[in-house]
Amino acid sequence: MRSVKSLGLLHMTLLFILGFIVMAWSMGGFSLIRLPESVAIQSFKTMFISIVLEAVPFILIGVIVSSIMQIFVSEKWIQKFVPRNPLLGILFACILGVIFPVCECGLIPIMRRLISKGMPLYVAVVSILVGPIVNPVVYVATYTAFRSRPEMLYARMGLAIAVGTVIGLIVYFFVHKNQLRHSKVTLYNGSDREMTEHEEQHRRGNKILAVFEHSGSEFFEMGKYLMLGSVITAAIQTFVPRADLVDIGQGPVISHFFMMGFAYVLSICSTSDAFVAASFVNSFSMGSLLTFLVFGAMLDFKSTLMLLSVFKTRFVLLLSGLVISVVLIGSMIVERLYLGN
Amino acid sequence: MEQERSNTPHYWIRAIILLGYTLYITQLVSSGNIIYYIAPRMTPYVKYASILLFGMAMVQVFLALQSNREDNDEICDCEPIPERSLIINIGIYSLFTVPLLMGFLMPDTVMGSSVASMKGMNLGADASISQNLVKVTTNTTSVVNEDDDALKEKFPADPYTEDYALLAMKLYIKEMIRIEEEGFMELLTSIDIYIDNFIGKKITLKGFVYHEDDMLPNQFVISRLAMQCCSADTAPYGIMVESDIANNFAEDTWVEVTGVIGKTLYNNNTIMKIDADTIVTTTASDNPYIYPYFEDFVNLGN
Repeated sequence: MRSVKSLGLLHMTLLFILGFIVMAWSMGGFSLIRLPESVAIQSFKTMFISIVLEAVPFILIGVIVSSIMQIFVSEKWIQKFVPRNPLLGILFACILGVIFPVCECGLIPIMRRLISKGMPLYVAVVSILVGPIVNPVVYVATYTAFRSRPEMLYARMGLAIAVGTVIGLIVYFFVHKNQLRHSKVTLYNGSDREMTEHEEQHRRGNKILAVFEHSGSEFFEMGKYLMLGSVITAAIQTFVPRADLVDIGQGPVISHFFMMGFAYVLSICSTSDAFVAASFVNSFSMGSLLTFLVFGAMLDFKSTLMLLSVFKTRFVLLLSGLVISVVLIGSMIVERLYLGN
Repeated sequence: MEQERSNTPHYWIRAIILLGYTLYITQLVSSGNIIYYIAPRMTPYVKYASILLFGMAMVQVFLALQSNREDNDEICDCEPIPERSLIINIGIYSLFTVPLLMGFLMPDTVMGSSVASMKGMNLGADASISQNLVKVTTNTTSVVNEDDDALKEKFPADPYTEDYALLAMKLYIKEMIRIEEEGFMELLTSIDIYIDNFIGKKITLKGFVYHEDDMLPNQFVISRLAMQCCSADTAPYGIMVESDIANNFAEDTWVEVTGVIGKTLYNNNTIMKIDADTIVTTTASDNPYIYPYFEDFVNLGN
């Protein structure tokens, strides 16, 4: 045991820092210090902070829902509600996505928790892929951005569900091993006997407090990937001119690949990417914009980092490969048959 | 017990970071500067988030104070703080601290032409509107006089551009078209779709000056940044302005331009332009951004 004295000192020091920050803030002391200014650094700062601020509410919803599930939802409940039939399971996953209308930042922690509680992997995967697209918020955003081309809205929603179904079935039939990066023991304290003890503990303790403690840990666990992703996204947005990118991305097939890469590095939330896509209508085909809208919401820089925190690297690679190929093929078919230009 | 790692510093550091975010958001909201980062319809979420962050910070303080107690009856030991090397821990917590430091130490600034040049200026119509309209007039339930068939003839529309056609008709009968902040993009789009009808009409609007290298000396773009959710998804929209005194206005100057609508050729595209009668330097708009208009277009252009 550490000596009580040194611990007391540690508490004092950190409490002092905390107090100092609050004092300095309340006296407006922060505005006295100024870092060197440059337009590019300023824009970088504005974008970085805005990406973080936009994501924080959603990641908070994610970690809090996940923590509530950890404490209140039992494995039995999951087994009772998740359908046995894979197609019904996929439908269930899509409905889950609608129930939690958050983007992948919020969905990934929730799904991690549900998998560790015994939800089948394919259901979670479909939710993570389809959820960020098939939900009311994104529906309205896409409708507004493509007001005069509503076929884009239907193509986006339809293709997302189709891609989710195909990938869900592939995962259902071919992936059987546990794909979680952390074993259930770390996430969930393992065997049934320990479980009951654990639940006992919660019953005694204050459940609300427990939810907050879990949320705190998980916020830092998931948030670090969000921060890293936001830094890189903001840097690309600030320092790489779009026009340069657009020039390399023309041509019937290459434009699809280009739009995937573009969506990947931009890492814009699915609630606002339709707006960005709309500004490319004159320079890109509708098909490649559809690729942008479906692929970008399913897989991007930020979400890859978050997926890596949940799943084994090999599984993330497999999933990425599947998303790339299925979205590409699907989008080209839709372009040929439905969008027609 | 001697070797056991203490979680106490973790709890404290987390408490400080969480509290830092709470204070930062509070400061942004109370100063109103949050509009530089987040669209108004997203701000309530950020506000509620700060309350949750505060609660989480307090729980971390509680855990820190409790963590050295002998009996160690933690509320829950199911998710212990993962064991990592010091360097990695420093790295992780720094990631959370960087935005806070930038936020507190650097001034909030409006993004302007530098961002516009990175993102690529959108000249004229909202690009998602198809320009090759089918020349079929739908039976528009009109805000314009029902008997004015000649007018409707001039503004052909399909069901999806009907709203724009109605808005364009409303603008067409005006002496002077004023482009307000509200519905900025939608108003410009309406005019641009039916540009041929609007040539020679008078127009006035406010925005910042934006240049591109291949523009003529008598040209600049009067521009606004449009935001959907956050400043990462902003896109610049603007109109080409031509005037002999165009050169006198530096990049990012806020101006009010009044002039006559016309067409010009730029990068092999025919685009809308304004032949300026007057260009007046003005104060920057209170809100640096414009937002897509979600409501019924009927409310626009009054």
